[in-house]
Amino acid sequence: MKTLRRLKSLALVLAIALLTPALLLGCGKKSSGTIGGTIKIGAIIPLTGSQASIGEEEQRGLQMAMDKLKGRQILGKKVEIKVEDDKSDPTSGVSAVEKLLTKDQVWALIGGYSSTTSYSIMGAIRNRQPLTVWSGGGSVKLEDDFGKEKWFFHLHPWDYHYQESIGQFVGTINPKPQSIAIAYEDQLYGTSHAKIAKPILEQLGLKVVLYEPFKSGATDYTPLLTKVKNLNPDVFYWIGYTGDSILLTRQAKEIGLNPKMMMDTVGVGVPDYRKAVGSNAEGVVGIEVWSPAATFPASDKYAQDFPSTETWVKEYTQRYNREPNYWSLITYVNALVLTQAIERAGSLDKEKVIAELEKTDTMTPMGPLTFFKTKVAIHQGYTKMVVFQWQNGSKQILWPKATGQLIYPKPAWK
Amino acid sequence: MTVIAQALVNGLMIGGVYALVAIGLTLIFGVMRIINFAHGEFVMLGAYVSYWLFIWYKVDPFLSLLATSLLLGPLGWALQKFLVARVLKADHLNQILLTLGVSITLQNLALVAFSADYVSVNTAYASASVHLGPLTIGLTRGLAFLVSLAFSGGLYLSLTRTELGRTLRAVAQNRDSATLVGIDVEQTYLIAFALAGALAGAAGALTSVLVYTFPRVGFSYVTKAFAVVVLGGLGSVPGAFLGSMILGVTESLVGSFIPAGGGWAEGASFALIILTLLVKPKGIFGVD
Repeated sequence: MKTLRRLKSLALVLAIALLTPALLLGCGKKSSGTIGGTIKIGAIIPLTGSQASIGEEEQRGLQMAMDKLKGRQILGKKVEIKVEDDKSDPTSGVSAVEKLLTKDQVWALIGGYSSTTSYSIMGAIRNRQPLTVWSGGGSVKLEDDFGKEKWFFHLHPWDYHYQESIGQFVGTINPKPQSIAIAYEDQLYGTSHAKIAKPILEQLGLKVVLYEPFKSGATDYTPLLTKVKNLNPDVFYWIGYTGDSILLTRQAKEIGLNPKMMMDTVGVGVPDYRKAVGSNAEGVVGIEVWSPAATFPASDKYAQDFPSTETWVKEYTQRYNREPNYWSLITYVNALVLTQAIERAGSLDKEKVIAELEKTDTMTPMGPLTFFKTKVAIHQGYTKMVVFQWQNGSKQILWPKATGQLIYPKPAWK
Repeated sequence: MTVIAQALVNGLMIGGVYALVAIGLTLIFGVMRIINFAHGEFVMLGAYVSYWLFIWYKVDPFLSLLATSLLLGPLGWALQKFLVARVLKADHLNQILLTLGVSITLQNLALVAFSADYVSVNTAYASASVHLGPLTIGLTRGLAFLVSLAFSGGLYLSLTRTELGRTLRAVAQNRDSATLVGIDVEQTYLIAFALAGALAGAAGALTSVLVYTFPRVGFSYVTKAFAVVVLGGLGSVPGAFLGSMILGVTESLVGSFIPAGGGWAEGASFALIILTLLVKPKGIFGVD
């Protein structure tokens, strides 16, 4: 009796726990199983877990790409994109890629977000060398270990592209800031960015008065912020995620920390940040891979897939009723740049498709795209960044092509 | 000196929020010997309710915490009535699986219903602060601390001074004897869960304005609350309160005075669990 009840409750819990992700993923569209009529592409994105908000951005981009591919035949076949959830976790990422390669037998891989997860996934598939065109993972560790692989194409800029852009931007500030406090989240993302940023900023003549890690997702940053306040630097630069940036901004105001400039990398660019901190975002500086305010023209060759930035943003906003984040767009480009290469290659021969991908030279809503050599990698896509400042509720681009003037020192808290 | 005092005050303020979460957890454990992993998700639901009340009706979170308590209380009651009651006599493993399952389910349902976006209540006074001599206290945190103090104190008084409190304590001490003296044990369990739900609801409303809200927000609280409960003594309300203050202050001191302490501060809760288990396994006010 007891065993029966125990089994029953266990089954109930398992059933509920298993059902929910299925619901989330749209009740799993079952594939026909035959590879003959379709080209299967596997996408791995974080749909659940701590990175789910970016995963949702990526999924929206993928959906838009699938809309474009709908009803289109490539090599006389339909393209099917199988989406797997990496659950914001390296181990689950590896299970996801195993499933895609063995059970679903996908022909190529796309997607990705976190550097740590990307690194585990690439390690797991290294021996099999499936064609991989990857949106995620900016860590140089990924570049060092996988950048030389012929089967690996990487769209997202590397860490040093951010920090080089930040450095070049900081170099334009007048009067020149004298000191800077750097705080970074203590995982792969924050630590590797910070390591690159420090020498670049020091070379500009800034004195680094604080260089400390913090835990992403913590509920209280006042100890860190109090330290910064006591050191009184010209610039407070943190490298964290959106949630961290929300809390850091609020608590900085709370304790009255108001340096001449407050700057973050990717956490402050998303609309969620602005909504959460309201007018306290005024004057905060950030960097983005892309901004919806960019003005890239449509592609000559692929005008339907890659319209002008303005048109693409309009399509996105109409469909989702919100402003796109660059993660939507990079994943969108990711899917389409691959299918275009397959079409040009005229076959599913991996070498031929790799050769065609290497010849990629097109305008996209994210800017011009070719795959070229960086420090280690042989197939790197985007490298250009945009530095912006929140002014009157919207982002003014300060670098490289300024749409507005930097407000420096930053206005006092209201 | 001021720096140390400021760090202590910061720690006490953040400890207040931990206390509100931990007290609900310890109450359920004390009365029923069950670890309710879904407690954090109740905090999360409370935070969303508070957020929507603010967005739709401009209700201040410090007012809506009454509403979130009244809403989450019955939900706690329902969780006990329809799910937990069925595994009360089962293995601890089954109980853990059940509450963990509810936790995962609620988290994922929230992901579907509310999306993974970070939302936050942004009141006019969100980042205002008050000055006490050389010390600065965030207004919101100060208020949250007072709310926590009122709720914890209220609960402690009702546990020690009222008939209901005596009933709850009787069941906590000995389930069978309580039945013998005519206490409706099942009813008492329902009350314990409803009270814990209400406390989680209040904690949620505070979270929505103090931190930010997203489907996994409850998770980080519940791990800390668990540490606090172990530290204070499983089932002890004053223990949970004191434990929260100790954790808050430890985190704050580590964060302020240890080089690169920001990364270590979050580990403080786990270090405290290990230390407690080694030195005083039953916790500060532990009885068993």
